[in-house]
Amino acid sequence: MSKKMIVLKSSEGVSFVVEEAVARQSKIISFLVEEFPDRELPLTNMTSEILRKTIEYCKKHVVEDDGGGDSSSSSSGDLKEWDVKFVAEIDQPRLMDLLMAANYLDIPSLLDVTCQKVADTIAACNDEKEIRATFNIENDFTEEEVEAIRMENQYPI
Amino acid sequence: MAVRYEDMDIEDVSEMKDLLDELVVVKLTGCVGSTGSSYPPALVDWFQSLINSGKLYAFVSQGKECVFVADSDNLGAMVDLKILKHVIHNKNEFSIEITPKTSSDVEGETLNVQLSEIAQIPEKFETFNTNNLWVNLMKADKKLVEADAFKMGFISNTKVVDGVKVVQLVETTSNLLLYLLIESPKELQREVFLRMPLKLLGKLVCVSKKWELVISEDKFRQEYFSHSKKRPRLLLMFRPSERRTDLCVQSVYQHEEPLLSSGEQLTRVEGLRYSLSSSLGGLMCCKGPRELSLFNPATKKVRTLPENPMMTLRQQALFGYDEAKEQFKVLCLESGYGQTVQNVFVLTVGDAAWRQIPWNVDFRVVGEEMCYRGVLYFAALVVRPDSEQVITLSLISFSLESEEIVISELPTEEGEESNLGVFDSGTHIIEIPHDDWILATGHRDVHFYGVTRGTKELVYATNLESERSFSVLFYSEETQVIRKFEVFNEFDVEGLESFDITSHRRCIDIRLDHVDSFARTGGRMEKWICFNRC
Repeated sequence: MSKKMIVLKSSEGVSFVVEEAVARQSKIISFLVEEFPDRELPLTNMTSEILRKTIEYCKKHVVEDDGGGDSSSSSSGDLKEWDVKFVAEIDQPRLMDLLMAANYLDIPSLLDVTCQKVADTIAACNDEKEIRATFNIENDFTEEEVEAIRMENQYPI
Repeated sequence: MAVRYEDMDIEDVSEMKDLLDELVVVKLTGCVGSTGSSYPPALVDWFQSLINSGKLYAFVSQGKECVFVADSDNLGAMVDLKILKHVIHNKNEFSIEITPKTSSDVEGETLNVQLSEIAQIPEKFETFNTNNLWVNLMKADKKLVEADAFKMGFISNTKVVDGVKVVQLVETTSNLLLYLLIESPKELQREVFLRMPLKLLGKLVCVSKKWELVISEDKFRQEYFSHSKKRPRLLLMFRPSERRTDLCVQSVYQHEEPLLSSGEQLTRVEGLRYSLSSSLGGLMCCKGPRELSLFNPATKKVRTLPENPMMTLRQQALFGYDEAKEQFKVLCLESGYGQTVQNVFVLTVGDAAWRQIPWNVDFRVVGEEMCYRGVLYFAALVVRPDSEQVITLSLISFSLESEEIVISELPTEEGEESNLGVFDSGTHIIEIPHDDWILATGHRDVHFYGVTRGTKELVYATNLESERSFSVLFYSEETQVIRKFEVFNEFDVEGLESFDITSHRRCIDIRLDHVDSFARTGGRMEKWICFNRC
């Protein structure tokens, strides 16, 4: 049985031909494929680079799911390891783009790993100054306000 | 997500008819702008008008929830009860009716390039935007205002008004859609923060006002709780030093491998001298013979509970949590040493005072309490009222909501080792299977710690007194699968160079199904002790 292919087009107009099963991990694409079969799907806010990364992720995950029906614990462990490596190799700005892409295309597992990676990056910062520097955030608090927040018991237990 | 009208799984709309009685019709007239007629209002102005006129808040405070908006020149627009039911049931924030384009739809807004980005519908597709919108006020108002959705882009139209050619800047509904369909960066921030350890969030509020806003919202706190419920934690507790108030809590994800490097969090707290209850709703109760306190391992905070002046003898506290009502209660049994319970008191956490519950049965608690779905269960030896000689083992349940106590005699003769466990049908005393499978793991001396809620696994750990290493065993009776985790002997405890649990021979205690939570216990705080503030 030949596999059905669909075409995704990045913001630069580059076309990517992907197996339908791979692309269907995006709930949005899955819906569109049903609704509008045999059409090219333009993803005008995704660069080729990010789209390529997203497809790479989807390919890896579709293979594993196909493999043995219920993925055994070892293969799901391998997959997890692969995910960790996958996000570790991406630099900060691209990671944010990938996170947005996962959200936009509605790929829950990719959203989860990218969000977790960002969370870990934040957690690895020593203090709020480092967080601001890493994520390019402006400090809009005055000294007094920060002190007030610190003193205030933010969380009742 | 787009839904086809035919696919909506809705047949009976009769209940929606009553809602029509609640219908308020607001007609937007007049023009916005300095010279009256120079600026014909575009559809999206309706929302700004609702805000500016104060109507929005009036509606929300009256409990009005849903707005249906249609162009005044759309003569065919009507409130479709089927769609109304759909948006209410699915709690849609924002919906728009679209329809295949017909030849008569010439001047309307087709889903243009920008919209096609959003809905992922290529522009070639002939979909016509009817401009019939459904907006949930409760959910959408803040979002729209915060986003300044109205400044997000214009289409300029040249129109002739009263004979004068004017340029109409139309803020397209598509831009509203752009904002509402693509989740805002704030929602994504929330997604990221959900994955942070709770104690770090205290640090993050100082980063920027935006972050503070996101983290301090109730919505975020609730989401955080439900998110962490999906990944319950196992807590390993030990006392790292000679001081009896010094406690270390190591927390790892219960279902993930390898157990000990998954989401690892080690917390060291001062001030918890006594034994701790199981973890409920993110909290544990520290049960002293006189004083009681609550402990949140995720925030490292300890809170003492009000004293009970009515209590004169020794107390035994049982900790309960009603998930549906988000309420914590402590049941206190008063008795002399070796005697049966004389008085029963209850405290709703957040209240200042204890209340006494009428009680006239002689009993003595055996084993630990367990709380499940708002009911506190414990096993007790009960003296039969008709004959003081007969003592039966019974299960006592205390409903946290009604505060009703029910005693049911247990049918079987139980051995010494019996524990409460939860299975689908409710709570039972379960006999611990000390079967061949334990021997198969190579361990002889194991101690039973309980049953996990979601996966219903029996949890055991090896006894440090007789074995040199400490392992945690999960056993599922259903699948007969054993998961075994060796716990590292050395812990990196802050303030101590290295801590070897086996050399200290100090016992490690385990709590299951811990969930990180802000645990909003409500009410004024009696007295707060806050250690290691972030």
